[in-house]
Amino acid sequence: MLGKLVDGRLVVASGKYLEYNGMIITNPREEDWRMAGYKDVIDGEHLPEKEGYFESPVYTDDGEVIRITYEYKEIPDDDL
Amino acid sequence: MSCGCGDTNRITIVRGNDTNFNGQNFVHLNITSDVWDLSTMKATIALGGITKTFEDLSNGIDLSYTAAETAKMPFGNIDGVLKVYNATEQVATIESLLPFRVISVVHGNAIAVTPAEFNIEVKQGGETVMNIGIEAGVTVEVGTTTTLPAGSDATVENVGTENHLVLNFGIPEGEQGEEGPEGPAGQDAKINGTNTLTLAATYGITFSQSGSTATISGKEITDVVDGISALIPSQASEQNQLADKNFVNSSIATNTANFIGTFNSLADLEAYSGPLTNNDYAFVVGTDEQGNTVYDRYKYTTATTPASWVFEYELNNSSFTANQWAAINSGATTTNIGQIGTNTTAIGNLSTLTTEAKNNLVAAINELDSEKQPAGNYVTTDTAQTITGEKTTTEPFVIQNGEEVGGLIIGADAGEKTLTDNTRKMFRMLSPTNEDSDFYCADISFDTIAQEGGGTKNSVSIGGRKGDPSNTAPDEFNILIATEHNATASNKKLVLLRMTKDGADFRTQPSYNGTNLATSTDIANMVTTNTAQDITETKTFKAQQRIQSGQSDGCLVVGADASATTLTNGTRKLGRMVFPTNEDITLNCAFVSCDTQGNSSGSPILNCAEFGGRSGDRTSTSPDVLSFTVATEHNTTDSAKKKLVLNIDKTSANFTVEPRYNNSPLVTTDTAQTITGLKQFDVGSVTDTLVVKRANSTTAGTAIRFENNSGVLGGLGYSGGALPYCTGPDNSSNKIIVRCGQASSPAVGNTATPVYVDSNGVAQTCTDVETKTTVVALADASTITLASNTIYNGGTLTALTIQLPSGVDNAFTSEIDFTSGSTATTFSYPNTLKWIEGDDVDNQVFTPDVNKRYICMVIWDGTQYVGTVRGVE
Repeated sequence: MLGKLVDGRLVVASGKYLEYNGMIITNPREEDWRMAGYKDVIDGEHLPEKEGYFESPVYTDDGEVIRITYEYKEIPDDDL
Repeated sequence: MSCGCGDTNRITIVRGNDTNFNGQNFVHLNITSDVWDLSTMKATIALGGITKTFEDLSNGIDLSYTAAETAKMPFGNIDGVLKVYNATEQVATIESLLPFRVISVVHGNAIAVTPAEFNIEVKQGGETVMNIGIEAGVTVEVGTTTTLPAGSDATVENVGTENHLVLNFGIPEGEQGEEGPEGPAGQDAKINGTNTLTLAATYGITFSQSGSTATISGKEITDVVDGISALIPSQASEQNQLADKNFVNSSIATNTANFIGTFNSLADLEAYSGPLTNNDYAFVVGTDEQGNTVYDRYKYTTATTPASWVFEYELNNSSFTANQWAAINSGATTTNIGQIGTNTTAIGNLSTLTTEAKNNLVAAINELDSEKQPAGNYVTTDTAQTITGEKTTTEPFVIQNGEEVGGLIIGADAGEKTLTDNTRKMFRMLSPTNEDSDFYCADISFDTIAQEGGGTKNSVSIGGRKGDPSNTAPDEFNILIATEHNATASNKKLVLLRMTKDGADFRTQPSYNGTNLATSTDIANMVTTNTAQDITETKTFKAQQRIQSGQSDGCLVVGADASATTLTNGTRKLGRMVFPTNEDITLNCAFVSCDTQGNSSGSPILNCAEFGGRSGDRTSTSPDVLSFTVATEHNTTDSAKKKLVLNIDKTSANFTVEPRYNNSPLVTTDTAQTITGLKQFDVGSVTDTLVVKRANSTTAGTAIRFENNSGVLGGLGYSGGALPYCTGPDNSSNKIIVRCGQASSPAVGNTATPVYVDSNGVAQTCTDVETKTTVVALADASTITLASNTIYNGGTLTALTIQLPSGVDNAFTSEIDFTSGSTATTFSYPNTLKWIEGDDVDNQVFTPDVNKRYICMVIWDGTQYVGTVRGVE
């Protein structure tokens, strides 16, 4: 899976076309995505379920790859 | 082969005589041979530079020489060389066969010596082919000659050998003859053979001799002598004054005095080394205390031991003393003496004194002056002094004045010795000339000259005034400077400027650091002033001349008002620079002429510089060739680096202008040129190409155009794309067809707005121009920039990227034909391209699907690129 962080959110390389650098690239290939800045996404180990908490991903771009780690976040009372 | 003879066995030849070989006039060589036929052979004998030839050797050779031949032979031992020849070749050579000796005329008995008889064998290949022998002769030698008594028989006796005769001769004396008749009477004795002296007749004296007794006038001579001796007394007396011989001899020995000479000192006299006898005398010259010349007489005496010179007395050769002589020579008279001390104003009369008297007087005055003032020449009075006549000195004058206003003021009112206001002043400093002591050369002259309009000017003339008729001017001026403070060495005093005349030439020679500067030239040829000068005669330069001006406005200005030598505003100017021609030194060739002249229509005055001269100039010719050359390297003198860039030449009546680049001809003119005759470019090889290049290769336009008098016929141009174009008439359709590419291509226009020229020569827009569609094959995964009127055919592509050109017009259209395979084609295009309709177009985005062919059209709608897609299953 390829993806890149946009405003802290992970955008995954998928879709019919890619717009990059003034060009529209339809049916983009992996290299097209990579050329557009998309990187390998390495998914981390998921956390076991914990009551009252949910698993929240944390994205880290180390320059080569984007790593996903998880952490517990308390489920707001409203969502309970 | 040599005979080996010694000198004693040589045959003698008397040079200059017919050779007498032992009483014979020849020497015979016996020649025998059992091998050779001697009658057919010949021989040569070379002896003493003379070669004789003999034939038929069967009887041997008789060798003889004439007196003329032997006269040529050298003295000494010489050997003959015998060469024997058969009919065709030389067969034998015998060196030193005949030993001879050449002598001069023989005196005495020896006549000749015959060599011992010998034979010589001549061998060839070990075989004796010839024998040569010399016949023995007989020598004759004269022995003794004896006088025999009268009446005896003469005798000859051989006391030698049979072959060497030595003859002794006996010759009898002649018989006593009978007494002859009585002779004539004798003559008186004669003196000198002419004067007869008969002493008895003249003086009564007779000389006679009887036996051993001689008499004079009958008296024996011994008695006469004894009588005379008896008359001489033992001591002379008044009655008998015949000298006493002993007394005379004694006097001579004791009283003879010889004058030895005059010497400058006694030492010189005592050094005299000549013979001296007692009482010899001499003088020593000297001067006494009063200055008189005196002579001291010395006598040489042997009374002392050793002998010595003894002073006798002193002589004065004059009756006057030295002072008396000086008084006499002074010329002073009693009147003069009387004037001294009584009338001082008459001292001028002393000018009549002699030079010696004057010098004495001057010396006395100087001696008095020396007691009053220090040595040297000083001006000791402040009052004006009048100097008349010549003043001389042996020491430099010193004029000392250290005041700022101090100075030596020389000069006075003209013709006066005074200084008054408003009066012309004159002054001269002169130097004596070499040839005439009464003629001077002016060094500096000064004059106050009245000026026109009033006032005067102070004029200092180095070298004197031109108006001065009494003095000459210098031949040379030198201005020197010392290279070292107070230096006196000549090599440290440098001539900075020399103005001299050399014959009729005048030169100024500036120098720097002892070396003549390169600007030497004739004064007459120098430009030495900044003011305008009139050049009225031919000026010649012996060396390179420079006109130097480093100022921004500095230059050489050639020219003046027309027909004048002045420069005035509003006047036509003319100037020429010419060089002499080869054939006629009076005819010049102009290389630059300048003229300022308007035309008759009143057009503005033009400054016209004409290379090659003005056509209206009738005094100068124009060049045959004008060449412009530039150096390819800064300051180079190498001819290979000086390139001719423009050559204007005339050949007969034709004129060629040949601009060049890097020594190759160039076409560099923008103006129309008329070409007469055939002009062609010769292209030598495949790399030699005629290129017609537009300044901006990306701009379309006609590069070569063809016209006639009616207008444009066609041309060759450049469309801005890849292809050139050409235009031209189509004879078959009577139209102008625009053709592209090769002539065989169909008529296809390739320009945005093709034009042509119709049969009337009028330019028309093409109406029947078809646009050629270009088909371009696409490679997979390629990137292309779409071109108008082009079909891109790609087949199945995995990827395709297109770019869009800018600056296109509404006619832009391009077609893309490709197939998307099992993996959909990755199709990339600028986001400015809007797909407005078609298959697989969604939200103006065209995304190829799998396994589908697409034909895409892209056009420029005037504002943007738009596309349509047609999919084909």
